[in-house]
Amino acid sequence: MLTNGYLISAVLVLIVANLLTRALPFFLEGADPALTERLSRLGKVLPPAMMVLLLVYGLRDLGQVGGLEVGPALLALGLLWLVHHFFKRPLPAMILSTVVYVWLVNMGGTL
Amino acid sequence: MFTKIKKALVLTLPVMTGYLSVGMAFGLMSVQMGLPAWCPLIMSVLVYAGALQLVSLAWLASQMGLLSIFFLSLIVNARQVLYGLSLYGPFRRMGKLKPYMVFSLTDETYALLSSRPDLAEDKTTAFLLAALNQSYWIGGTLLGLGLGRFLSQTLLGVEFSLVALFASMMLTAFENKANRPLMAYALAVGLISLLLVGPDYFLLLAMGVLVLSVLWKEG
Repeated sequence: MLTNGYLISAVLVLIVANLLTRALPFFLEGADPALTERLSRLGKVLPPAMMVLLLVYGLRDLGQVGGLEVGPALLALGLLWLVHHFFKRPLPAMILSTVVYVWLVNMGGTL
Repeated sequence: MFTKIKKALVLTLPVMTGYLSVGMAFGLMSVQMGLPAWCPLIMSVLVYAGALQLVSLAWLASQMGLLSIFFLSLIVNARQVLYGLSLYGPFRRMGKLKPYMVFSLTDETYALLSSRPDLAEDKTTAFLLAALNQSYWIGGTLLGLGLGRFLSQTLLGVEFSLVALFASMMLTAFENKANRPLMAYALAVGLISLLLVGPDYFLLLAMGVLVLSVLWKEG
């Protein structure tokens, strides 16, 4: 059971951590260029790898009870890739694949 | 003033559709998870980070420890450090508005600000643009909360929007060949961690390993 105490603390942590990443560069204004150079390398190199980990996280309970359903998820991801690849439109690709997934799992049928 | 509002509105129009729809998915997901409405609302007002907010819903649902949330948030947001580093000049001119500009520096606001050097000279428009973007995000969250209340039964599978968001960001990053080796490494680290420690803790382990590897390689 989620208590209000936990939720408030967790949201506070999110607020502080997020603010830190946005404000950090401005605290470092005028600091050692070697440090900012290193930070900007990290900011460039980490995010693409992060996206992979977050995708694995999103799919972590694929096919398990209460998790994403395998058939609809694969179909929706395939669709996302197609729209991404041929039309270069990330947002419509995201919306379309989510709608298709939600539609498929709510039809109640098994795939 | 009116022309400045109009200019900011026109510039932020492409962001509007994106923030309204992803914000709506966020609001709807939070209702489906049984969170009280204040929680997603405060997040959209005071956190205001799309990817982090969406993924953190799953962390909250699994009652993840606060230290883990802190560490993971820093890594999920690592890309934001880059944005500030390239905006010293323009933000120095923002005066009293600077704290809000720093706070509201999302991917999309950064993209708009950095693609329009003329905005550095026009702080009112720059501020309006940032504030409008956040208002779309909050608006989307409210729409999602409303929709969640309106739906009499649980709409299954809205959590797929998280997968769609990350898959889309990943595909975009994958187009740059230079990113591919580390992305493949991250996939291996992620899958091995998942097998080793299971779905609840693998993200922490995998991100830790990833950050250490990058730090080690970069020297």
